[in-house]
Amino acid sequence: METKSGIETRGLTKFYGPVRGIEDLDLEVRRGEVFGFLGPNGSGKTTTIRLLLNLIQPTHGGGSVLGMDMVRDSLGVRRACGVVAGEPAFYGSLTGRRHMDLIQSYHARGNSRAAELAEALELNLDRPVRTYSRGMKQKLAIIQGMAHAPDVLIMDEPTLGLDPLVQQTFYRILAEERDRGVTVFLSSHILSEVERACDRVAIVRDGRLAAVLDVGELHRHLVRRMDVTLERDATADEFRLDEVEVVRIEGRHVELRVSGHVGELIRHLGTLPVQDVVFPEATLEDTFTAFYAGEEETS
Amino acid sequence: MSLSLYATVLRLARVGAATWGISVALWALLVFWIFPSISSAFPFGEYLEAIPEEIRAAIGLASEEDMALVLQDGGFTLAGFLNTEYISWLPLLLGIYAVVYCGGLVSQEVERGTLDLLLSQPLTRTAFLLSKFVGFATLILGVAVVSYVVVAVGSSVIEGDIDLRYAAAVHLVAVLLALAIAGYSTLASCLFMDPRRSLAVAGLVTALGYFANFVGLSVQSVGWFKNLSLFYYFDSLRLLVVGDVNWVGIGVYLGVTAASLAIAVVVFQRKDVVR
Repeated sequence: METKSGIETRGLTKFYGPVRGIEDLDLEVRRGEVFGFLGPNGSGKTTTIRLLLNLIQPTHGGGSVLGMDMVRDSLGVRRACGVVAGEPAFYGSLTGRRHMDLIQSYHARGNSRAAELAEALELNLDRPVRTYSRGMKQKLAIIQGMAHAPDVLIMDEPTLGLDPLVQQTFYRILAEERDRGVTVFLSSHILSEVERACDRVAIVRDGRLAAVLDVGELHRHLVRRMDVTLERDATADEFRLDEVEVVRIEGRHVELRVSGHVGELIRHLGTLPVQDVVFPEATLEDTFTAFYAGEEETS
Repeated sequence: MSLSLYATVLRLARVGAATWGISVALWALLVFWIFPSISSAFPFGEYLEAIPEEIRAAIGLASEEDMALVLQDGGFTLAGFLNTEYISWLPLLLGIYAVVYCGGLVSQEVERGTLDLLLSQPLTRTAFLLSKFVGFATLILGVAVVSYVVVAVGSSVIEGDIDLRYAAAVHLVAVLLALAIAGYSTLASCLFMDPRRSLAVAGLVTALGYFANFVGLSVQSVGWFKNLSLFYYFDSLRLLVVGDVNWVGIGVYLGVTAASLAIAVVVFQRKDVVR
């Protein structure tokens, strides 16, 4: 019987001695969706991936991939998966191609897309890995994870070390995988990455699942900082708008915290004598702070 | 067993194995080189007689019968000299390689992070372990073959009293001893999953084994010590000179290797792979 779940966990728990890796994780990743697993470093993302791949044993609970039990049928799970590590390790004296030959020898469709992916990511596979930069190793990790056209992709911080242009290529490849019907489990601590690439997002913190959201819903929770410099001294009153909080004012400089849609704020800035605006990407920390503040207020 | 991993093991370790093989071969060559000049110039018979009996026992020359196997006309025979100066050291030479390689068989892959890469593929832990161990066995056999070739060439040049069938047998038994050491070193690697600890434990067990044999042979009151040592069962003198095979020793080596690997597989199955 074909299951609708791509990946499913029930009460999945892992403790390293007294230290919590992940606790009581209930997740369902649908087949063919790109599912983001978002959380700060140390929140249990990598532990969850290692559990799914049976690299570590659960303390309680369990899970399945494409209906196959992650412990009892681990070999089947790993046959169906392509895995991209965030801190990939390779044998320094072997070339990228030798690695591909070794890794892909375990897959029925091994290396079927290696040349195409290497070309797209502009990686020379004929150099020893010890001569690769950090970004090149990450490219090799991506190629070895995808070269056998797996049905499920499990990725742990896949864009770490990639320069912005290569990241764009990676997102394009990922979109093609989604179009092909591949189930993607993408762990990340980068909000913009998850927002861009995923259909749904689970947020984990301190080893516990905090929420599962659609990406649109996540967007509404995003909190960003904005630094505005006026041509004259600023006052708090002129920034009193919905979803805008004045964090600090120093003469002409104002620091704002903005949540949700920014259209009204931008329109308002057009009415002020603005000299400069700095509007960086939303950070996970700010979003978490606001998210949990909202949760506490609700409860 | 994974043939692609086996081939990778050979590729990755070929330089180290070649270096080890060359070092062993140079040692053997040195022994053959100095034998003609030293055998006639030095009264080994008198020297051995002068050594305290306990020490002679420790180097396997306790009885008159043992002495007769290595001496002729007051000097060493080629087989006796080769055994004393080279073959009797072969288990230690191969054993050190076994400890260094197999002590890190799993734990070094954990530390490097390459175990994650391999075990994220549809490769069983048993296949991983066996492929690497068989790879090591091939490498150690290669080193032994190099040693045997030097012995065969050396003895034909010097025209000594070495039977090449016995020389082959003594190399084979040395390989079996090294595999037994490799077996418990692999077990240590799986138990600790940390290369420093596993190398330390495997090295300590090997050193204690060597020491137990030495003490057990030379001090009668603790003679049973020697039975605890794998080195005790390597009777190279009788094997090289008269072709006496110590079948008990071969059984011990095979048993230790098989038992160590079986336990290592069970332990490794239950271990978390955490970098």
